[in-house]
Amino acid sequence: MRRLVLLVVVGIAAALPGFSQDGELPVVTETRGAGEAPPAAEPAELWVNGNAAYEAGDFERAVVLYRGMQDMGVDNGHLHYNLGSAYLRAGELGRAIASYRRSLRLLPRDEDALANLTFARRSARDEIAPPEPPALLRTLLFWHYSLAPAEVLRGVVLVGAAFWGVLAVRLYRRTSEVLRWSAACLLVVGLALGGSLVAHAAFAPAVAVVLPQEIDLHAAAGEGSVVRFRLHAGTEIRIIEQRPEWIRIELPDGQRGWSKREYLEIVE
Amino acid sequence: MGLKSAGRALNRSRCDADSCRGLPGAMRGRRVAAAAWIVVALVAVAVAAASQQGQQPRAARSPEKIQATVDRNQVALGSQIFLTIRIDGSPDAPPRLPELPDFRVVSRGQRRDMQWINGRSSNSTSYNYLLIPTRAGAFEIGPATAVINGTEVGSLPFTVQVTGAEEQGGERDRDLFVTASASTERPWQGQQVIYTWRFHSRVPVGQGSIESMDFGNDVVVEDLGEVRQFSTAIDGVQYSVNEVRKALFPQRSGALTLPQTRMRVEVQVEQPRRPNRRRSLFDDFDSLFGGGGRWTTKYLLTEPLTLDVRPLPPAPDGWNGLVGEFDIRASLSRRELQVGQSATLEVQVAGAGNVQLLAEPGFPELPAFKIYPDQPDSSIDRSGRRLTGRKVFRRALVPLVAGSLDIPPIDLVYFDPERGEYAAHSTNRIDLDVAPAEDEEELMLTESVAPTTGKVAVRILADDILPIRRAAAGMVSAVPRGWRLWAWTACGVLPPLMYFALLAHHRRERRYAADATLRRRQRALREALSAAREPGSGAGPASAAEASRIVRRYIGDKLGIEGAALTPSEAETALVRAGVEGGLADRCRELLEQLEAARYGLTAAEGGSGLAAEMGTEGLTRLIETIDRQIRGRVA
Repeated sequence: MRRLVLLVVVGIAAALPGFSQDGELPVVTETRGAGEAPPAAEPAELWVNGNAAYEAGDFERAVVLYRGMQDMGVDNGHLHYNLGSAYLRAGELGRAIASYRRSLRLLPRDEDALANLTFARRSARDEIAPPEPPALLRTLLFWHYSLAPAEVLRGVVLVGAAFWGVLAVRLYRRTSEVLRWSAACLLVVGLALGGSLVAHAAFAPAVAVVLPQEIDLHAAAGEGSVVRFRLHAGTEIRIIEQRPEWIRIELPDGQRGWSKREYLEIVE
Repeated sequence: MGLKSAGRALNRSRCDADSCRGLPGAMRGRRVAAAAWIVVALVAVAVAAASQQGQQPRAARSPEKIQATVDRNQVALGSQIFLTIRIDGSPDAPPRLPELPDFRVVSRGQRRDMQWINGRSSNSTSYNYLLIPTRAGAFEIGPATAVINGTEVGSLPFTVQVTGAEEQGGERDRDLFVTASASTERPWQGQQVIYTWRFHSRVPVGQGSIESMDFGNDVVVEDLGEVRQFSTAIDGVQYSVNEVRKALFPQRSGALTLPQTRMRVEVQVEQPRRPNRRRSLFDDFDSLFGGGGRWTTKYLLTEPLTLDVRPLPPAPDGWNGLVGEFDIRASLSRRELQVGQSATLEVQVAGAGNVQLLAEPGFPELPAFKIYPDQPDSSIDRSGRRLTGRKVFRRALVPLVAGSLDIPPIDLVYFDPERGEYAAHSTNRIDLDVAPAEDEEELMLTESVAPTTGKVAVRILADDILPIRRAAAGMVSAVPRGWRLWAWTACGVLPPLMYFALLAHHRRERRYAADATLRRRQRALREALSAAREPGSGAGPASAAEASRIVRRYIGDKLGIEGAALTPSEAETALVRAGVEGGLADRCRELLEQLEAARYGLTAAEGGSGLAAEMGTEGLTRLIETIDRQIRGRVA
């Protein structure tokens, strides 16, 4: 029996190294000399070169390099943050706001990303409040809005492992009140995190950002339909229906309209 | 009728012949001849009569498949004709009406009729139309055509006479009529023309509506109030009148036709009462609740009006399109003020005509003032008998210099249709005295200062985004990939699997602890088979002892008793008690007895090949498995 418990502990321990990503990553800085070997990983090279292009004022090239990282499957909040700054410097307000929103989704507690998003939003022409959950909801479900989806996933796995481990120990210590309450608390936490994970995966509100300087919102999905109102670059709007070429959006005051998909960038 | 009279004459002639019996033969012969001639004559008359009656049945044998009828063929303007097209059988499609350019045609639905006469059925379809004449005259209603079973048939044409209202004895003889009139027949282009439409009635009417009152694109139309209702007497006849007024503004010169206006109204029609029927008490209730007659729909048309619109003469300078009667007035809120103070100049343009075109008059240059324009106020009055309106323009004037200043007259040019020429009105000159301004107050502009501490508030001079990230975390995905994804998946899946495996193990251990023989029972078959498969040493005493031990140990483990001390009889009894069939238990007992005998060499002489076979691996395995199956089957 002891051998079995030991196996469980060792198995979990073997799986845990992936929890902390930053600790394993290669550190690539710009201070390397010309004679030093370039980073082996291509995303790292794009990252460094993109940052250098940004610092040099070549924001279009920085965008290309950052986008190249995305094409290689790299997806993290820091990349979206830098991409948003490059877009903003390049004058693409809509894409900048979309990138900052993605950055905040992956790094929900990042104050820099929030500050840059606020700065970018000031440049938007339409006086429309971005779609955000109510403050009461954000307070009640604080863990959902303050944890990134990846963090929630890790939390679910770890809490689940701890829960099952406590249950296993309790098989041999049936009378332990500590184990009983620990299992109950872990179950509650696991269910809360699991619900948050499901909400992130299936019920995340779809938000779009207007890309061109001005777009027409039609009454129906078609070029010939009546233009109900117009929106401008950087305006964040809630999506309520999607079709292959058209997207239906809704403003905070309930006004609805159809826009061509190419004019909007979907964030979530 | 001819046949009946002929029969009666024949009967009478027979009676005469009977009554003549007994007369002399010559006399009787002449009378018989005369009677025969009469009979022949009567038969001839009857045949002739029958042939005359047969004209109609012959026409009915080849009837017209389509029939067009009207309820009357003489009608006055403003009334209508009901046209019914009856088609025998089932037409392939609705009938095609003839060209009716002098009528408005309104469909009133269709009706199907089916008759069953002498065992044969026939059906017909009737299409109903309402024809509203648009002018007087005699008009031929051409043949209506329809296709029946692939064959096109047509109705017979007929003529309808439409008379003018005056030919019907004037309006006073009619219960319902509509009129339309224009305030002038020769307006100027842009002049206001009052179009008055009236509906006169002296019978109860129900719902009514104007279905078409369209004047086209050459006329700008403005409503003048709601529908007006009043009573009037025409040649001593009291009428209830509904009046609609419109202000029309012709937009082009030349002949302009105002089309007919069509009205649809429900009219109550008295039901004809039988002459010999006395008035019932319920008739009063019928009239009280409106049930004294049936309702029918009537369409009333006005006569088209033609206006001769005159073009306007060449316009003078300053004219901005106004046609009608207009006036202009100007006033200043204060006549005495100081330099830097403001006064409001109010210019009001009002009048009757095309007030939609009221525009700002040309204000004079006022270099001595600083001028601040204001939004104008405008109002249009549609409640009167004509369209009137006013527009007020305001300017805030701030004099820049002191002294006696004046505001020159402001001109308004419009076209006066009554006089047929352009007219101009001007405001009066406005004088005002401007005094020098008092000492100017110096403005002390300083930075905003916090009231209590005296510290200057921080001002944000500029803002910018924060610097980009350089951390290595930006190079990898936040979402686990590759082996990390598998590791996390394993971390999520393995703990519950391991827990349930541990739980199953724990429960089994607890069962073993609770029942000391459980482990032996569960392992009995496996251990017995394992021992039986070990290679024996033939049919000697050692092998017999080993085989006996295996069987007795299996029975002891399986039944939870001490097997090594079992005698063959005890083993048989225990097996029977455990549910094993008697034959099998008996065979097991015999085997054990033989094995015991062989163990001690007592059956060596008898030792047949049968015992050796049962002592072998296959024999023991088969026996033990059979016993185990029966015990398990009983337990199950």
